[in-house]
Amino acid sequence: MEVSAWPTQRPLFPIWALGANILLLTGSVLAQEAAVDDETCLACHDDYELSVADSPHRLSSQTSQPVVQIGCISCHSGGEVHAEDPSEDNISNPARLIGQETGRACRKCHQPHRELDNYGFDAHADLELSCSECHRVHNYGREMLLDDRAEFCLRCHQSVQATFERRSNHPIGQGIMTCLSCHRFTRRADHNTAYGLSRVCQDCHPEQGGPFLHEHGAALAYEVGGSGCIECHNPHGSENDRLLRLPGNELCRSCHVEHVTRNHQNLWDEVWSRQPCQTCHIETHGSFVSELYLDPDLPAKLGGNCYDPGCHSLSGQGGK
Amino acid sequence: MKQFQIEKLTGLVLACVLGAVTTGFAGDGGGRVKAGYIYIDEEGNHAVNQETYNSYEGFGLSFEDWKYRWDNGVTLKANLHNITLNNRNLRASASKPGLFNISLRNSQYRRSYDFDGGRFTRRWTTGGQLSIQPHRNAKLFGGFTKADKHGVSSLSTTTVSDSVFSSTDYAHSSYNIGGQAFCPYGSARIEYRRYDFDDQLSANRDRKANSIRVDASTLVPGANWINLSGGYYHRVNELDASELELKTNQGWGGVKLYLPKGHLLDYRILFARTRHSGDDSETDNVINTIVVGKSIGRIAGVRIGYENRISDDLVDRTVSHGFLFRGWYNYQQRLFLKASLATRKKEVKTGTTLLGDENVTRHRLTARYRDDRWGDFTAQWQGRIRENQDLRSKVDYNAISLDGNLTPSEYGRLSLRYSYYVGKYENNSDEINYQFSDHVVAATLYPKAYRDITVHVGATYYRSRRDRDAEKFSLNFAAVYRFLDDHELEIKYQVFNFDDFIAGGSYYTANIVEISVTKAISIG
Repeated sequence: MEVSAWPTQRPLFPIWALGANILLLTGSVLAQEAAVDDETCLACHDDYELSVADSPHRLSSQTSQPVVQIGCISCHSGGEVHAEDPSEDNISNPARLIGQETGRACRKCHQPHRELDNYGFDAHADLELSCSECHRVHNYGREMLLDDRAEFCLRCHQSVQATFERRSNHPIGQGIMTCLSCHRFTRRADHNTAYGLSRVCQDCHPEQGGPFLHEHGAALAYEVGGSGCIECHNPHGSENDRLLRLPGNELCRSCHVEHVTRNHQNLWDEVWSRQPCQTCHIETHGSFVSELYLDPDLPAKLGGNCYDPGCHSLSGQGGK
Repeated sequence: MKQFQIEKLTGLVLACVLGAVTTGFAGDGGGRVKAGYIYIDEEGNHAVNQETYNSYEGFGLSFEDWKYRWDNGVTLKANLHNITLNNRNLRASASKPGLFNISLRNSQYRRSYDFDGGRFTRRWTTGGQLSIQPHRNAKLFGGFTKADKHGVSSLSTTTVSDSVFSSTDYAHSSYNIGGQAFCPYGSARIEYRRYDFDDQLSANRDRKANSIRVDASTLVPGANWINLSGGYYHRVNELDASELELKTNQGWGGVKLYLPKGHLLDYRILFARTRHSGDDSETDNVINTIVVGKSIGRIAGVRIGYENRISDDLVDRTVSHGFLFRGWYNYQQRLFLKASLATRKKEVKTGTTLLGDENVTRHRLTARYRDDRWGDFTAQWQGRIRENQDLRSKVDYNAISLDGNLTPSEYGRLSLRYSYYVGKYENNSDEINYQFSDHVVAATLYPKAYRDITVHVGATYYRSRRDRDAEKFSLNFAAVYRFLDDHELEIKYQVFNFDDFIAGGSYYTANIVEISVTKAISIG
């Protein structure tokens, strides 16, 4: 019997294939090809046992009290023919399969996370990337990943790489974070529409999270007019402070164009001209006391002039 | 307190391991011990945004890649990096496949806002996860994460705002517990999470959140070309000092059909209702997505999708339509072409929003050529246009990247990269229209090892012209000498330089030298 290394060529719909697939899924893992044991495989592939010894795929035959039954043939089918006539072409290798078919091989024990968590457009699934594009069984790394460093992701996402060189950036280059710190493939169901600030951002920046009495709508992903943290911040990197998309007051003016002059031009022009918006509007993520997100300590900082009767107030009422 | 927590965690790991490992089982393992000294010489300002901000001078001790495995399958692992320094990153785990897994981590890092060390923020993170598998088809899991942050930071690092500083002192913790059941067809998972945020500076910011999530996915028995999935998510954020509350209920579902001859149909729907008690508003978000596609083995594939989003709070209502095209072609594993185009048009149907109507278009083209003998070369062009008619603003950028890896086995490896990023921002005010551009050139050379000596040298040059005119340059050199079979002497030298040619006096220079000795140790 010739076993193709490309099971993707196998038609899915014929009844006999369907039945075979169900048997494959429901049968005992080791019972599939009991005629070939691990010792037969390891007689030639003598270093392979060591490559999985520390991993969840440790061979049961090499374990004194195994809980789960895992053998070489759990993942590689066609062992009988291959043992008689060793060739790369007559043994299946999940690493060579594409998306759906790799999932079929791995899902004998694992649930593909893109099926459990994913919705909407998924670039990785759309491109028919397979489990083995990111995961490795032999000589694996953390989380069975081929490589969990940012460099691995940036091989395909090259255009993003330059943004991490910018003056203000998330510390990918320093190794403190990786792409996986924010882009969590196994937790995609945590869609931003369920939160005030973006869920992923809140994990490390909880101090910016609400709810606030006076919310800044643009910062809320669920709001009709908002799109979350990324409305103002470029999470990868920016030449501006605090990952802001635009410098200084220009960011505020990009939305509040009708209300904000370039500088603070008013009666206090002489004193307070050319001040950043954030000098006063310090609580831009949301405020409990001011609907203008003003600094509660502003009177103390500025000597109280702004809150003199007839001028500004914390609530924004009666201000000029 | 924190030390006590770490000791408790360590004790827990040991208890689990000792409980799982019965005497009489032989084992083997090993790892590396690394000891060295890091010397840092730096001057300038704006340290907060430099790569060196979490580097510390002093004696460093690390236990790297430690593993010990018993014959019964229990494996203990530890990776303890820079134990003696403030940028330590500690990870440890114990597991037995199919029975249990316990992992612990502790790390910290800081950001300095000046050079005298007076203004900085420091974050500690400690966490652990435990999972046990009482049955081959069921898994129970739970864990915690605790993050503490304190210090003083500047709101902005621009010169004009150097006087504006804010203090931070909070503890953020989360706990989770859940279970997962799986069978050959699919799986179901349920998880409860609790979050607590304790602000030491302002009690009225203290808050908590509770969430529960249930997700399930299955192939249809008898028709395993059909995948059904769905889930429900409930979360409530509450302020301790008031009755302010943000409550969300979200449900999603999907069906994916793996059709004959590589065809695919994928449909997903998500509905979320969020209620904010502050203004007594309730917002609905509905997202419908459908994708059809065809794949020809590993040779080619195409995907066409449509996404409809509705956001409605009974006063304002927006509707957006998104289209997606993706295609790829793989010629004999040597030439790989990939293209994608996505558009989204958002319209305000009812009421008014701050941003108004908006159009977004983005594209990406990638070509990669790979040769087994010489290496690979990749070119990528990515662009994005975002237009807002109400605000009369437009952002338009393009990024081009070239990346090459030369790998002639007899000489070593050379990696080269160039990225060019250019764009412009327009607004209805002429005052703030401007163009921006970035250039990044990077090269790293890994010559073939000579006897017992391995070296590599790399450099990165970055030039940005946005609102600033900034230049960065870094150089790194490393040499490793292997001796006495299991020892390594490593010398690293790094140089960082930053200049801002517009903001006068804004510069930074650092020289970092690290000398370390590593010994590999085997046990058993």
